[in-house]
Amino acid sequence: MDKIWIIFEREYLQRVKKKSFLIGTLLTPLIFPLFIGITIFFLSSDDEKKRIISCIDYNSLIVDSIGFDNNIIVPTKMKLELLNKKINSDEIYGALVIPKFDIYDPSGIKFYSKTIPSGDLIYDIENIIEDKIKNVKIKDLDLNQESLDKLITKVSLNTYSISETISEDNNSNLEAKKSSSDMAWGLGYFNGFLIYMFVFIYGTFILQSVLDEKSSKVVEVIISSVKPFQLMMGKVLGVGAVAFTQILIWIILAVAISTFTSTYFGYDGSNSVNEVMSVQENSDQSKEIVFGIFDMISSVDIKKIIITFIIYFLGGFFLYGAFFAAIGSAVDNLQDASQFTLPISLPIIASLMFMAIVLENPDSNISIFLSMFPLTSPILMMARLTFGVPDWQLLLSVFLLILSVLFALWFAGRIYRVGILTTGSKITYKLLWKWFIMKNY
Amino acid sequence: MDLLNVKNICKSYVNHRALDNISIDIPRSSIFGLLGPNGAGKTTLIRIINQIINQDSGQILLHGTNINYNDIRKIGYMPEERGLYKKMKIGDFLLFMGKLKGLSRSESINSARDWFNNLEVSNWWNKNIEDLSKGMSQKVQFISTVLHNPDLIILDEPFSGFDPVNANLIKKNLLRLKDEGKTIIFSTHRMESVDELCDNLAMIDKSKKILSGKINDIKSAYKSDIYKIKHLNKINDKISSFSVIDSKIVVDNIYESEIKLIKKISSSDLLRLLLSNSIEILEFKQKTPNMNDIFIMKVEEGNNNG
Repeated sequence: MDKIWIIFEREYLQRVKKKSFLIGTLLTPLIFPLFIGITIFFLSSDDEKKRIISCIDYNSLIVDSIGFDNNIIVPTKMKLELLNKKINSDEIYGALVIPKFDIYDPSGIKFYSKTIPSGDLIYDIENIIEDKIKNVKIKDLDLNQESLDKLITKVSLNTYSISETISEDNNSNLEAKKSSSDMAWGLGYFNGFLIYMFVFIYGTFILQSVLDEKSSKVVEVIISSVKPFQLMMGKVLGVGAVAFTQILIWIILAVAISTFTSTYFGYDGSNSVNEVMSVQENSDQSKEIVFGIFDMISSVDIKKIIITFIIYFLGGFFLYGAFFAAIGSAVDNLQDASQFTLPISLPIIASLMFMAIVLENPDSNISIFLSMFPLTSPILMMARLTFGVPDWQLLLSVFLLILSVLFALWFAGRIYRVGILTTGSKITYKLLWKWFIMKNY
Repeated sequence: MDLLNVKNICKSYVNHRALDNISIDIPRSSIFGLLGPNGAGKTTLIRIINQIINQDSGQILLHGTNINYNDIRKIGYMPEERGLYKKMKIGDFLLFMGKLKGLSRSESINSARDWFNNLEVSNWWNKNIEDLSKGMSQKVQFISTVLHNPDLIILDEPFSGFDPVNANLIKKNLLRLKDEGKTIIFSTHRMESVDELCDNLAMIDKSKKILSGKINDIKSAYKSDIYKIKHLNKINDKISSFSVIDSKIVVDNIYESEIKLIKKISSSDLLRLLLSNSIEILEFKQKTPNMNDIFIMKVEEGNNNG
């Protein structure tokens, strides 16, 4: 135990003392907003060139030019062959042909262009034509525009999740918390993705660290004073602590920033739902949005999420970290490692893909199974958590994860003890198995 | 009194037998050479003594009792495959190694300072390891091996990577450590250093011990009956006591010859015999085997038998 601590201490301090750690920790949170910002920038500045769409219209629906986004639809009397040439010479983007049809059964509308148009463009053009037809219909049926407008109704649903205790004060009402399924989706995705990222990045760190010790040949010097298992454990714990430190810094930063903004906006997250609702009637729009966000955040049990996150983060990290350590010990260089990291990475990558299914339907059997199965539970239970998970499922999942972690560490230790001293032999799964079952090494 | 007894050690790996019933006794306050070609099993034996790996059967006794995990503090091991953490400072590395051996911070610092003096290096405490030359890193490795003042020092191919000046410095220090009562095992396939340093040796080939004992005893047992002579006038073939293996003219009438005794006669008898055959002797030398010759001879013997 003493020696694990010494190894741990070195591994941890070596990494945390590096400038790159501090810079990485502070800059990484900025990457996400930056990424979103860049995406929005490119989306909005997309198609800067005005695209001209010539329209041959046999119904006289489109009489004047219609501009939308960066596009403009221009009615024309030209022949399609001529338009075709213009498209090919990039004079115009496309040609829209609206044949003569019955407005109650419009069909046969065609769009010609050199490249396949985006879904947005098609959707927009369809909307425009539908709108035009609607106008003709209103006239045709002699309807009143004003009464038509009155038909349009907008309803938005507020969702509440019922907690299991019924408050005794107003015994007729269930104590309900305002919940937001969008919020649950977003937070679930965020948590799952964060664990995915950490398991991958720090798992690779472990592999690298073990491999470095092996290739710099310092490992035999060390294991003459430390048992291989102690060395491996110290290393895994050390790298894990670095990851943990990083997360802790982020949590502290997030709490600090949110406290700062909430005091700035004068909103207390513990306010009751009613108060929030009354506040929402406040005419100040920007305040309303900010309160809305805080309201959503306060609707989920932050403490529970953080604690569960830490458990699954550590569990997932140790589970995969053990395997990465075993791989690092067995191979001689990174190239050789890739054939073994692939099968180990597969469940992690699969978790990310299954996340869509789980977030879409968090209570389905497949979601429940995936959030129990130890190789996928760290990511997928975190994805499910914000939608509400029964306690027994959570406990069972954590229990299975802990069992698997213990098994993985034991398994990895048996590979590791042989692997770190073996160089130059071709590593196969069969050989790894022989190392694993070897009684006495 | 022996410091270390290796008793009937056997060890097999997945595909082959690495050690076959090896027994070795290593006296206290001596330098012991563990010799053998590459792949003979030397490193396996050393790893077993260091408890890095376990033997299949047999015993290791240190100070007469079964070795256990706490004895690791009494051993300093410099493996053949050795390296350092590139991204550390020398001081931090030595503190780390000292801590692993149970040294306090101040003990490590004091011991390191002594060794910096012994190995004639200036204070390297704050130097980065990645800035070190190969010879310098070897010195740091050696210091980390002996930092905790171990009773038993095990060096696997210690002189690879050292220039002759630094190799001599290390040899000098090894002899000093021996005089202080330390026991040194040193494993190598390069025999020159064995001749200079070792008191006892064991030779391992193909996982078996093929030779062991005091180095002087071994040498005299393998003393050859070959003489090298530089002389005037050609040696007459008809002398029946010896045969001429090789003879060549250096200049004019001066010859260099190797002769092998057929009858057992003393060196002075041989000299007299030559002089009486009107051969004028310029140089006369009995060929004594060095460990390299014995080593090659024994290994070839083994190859022929196997």
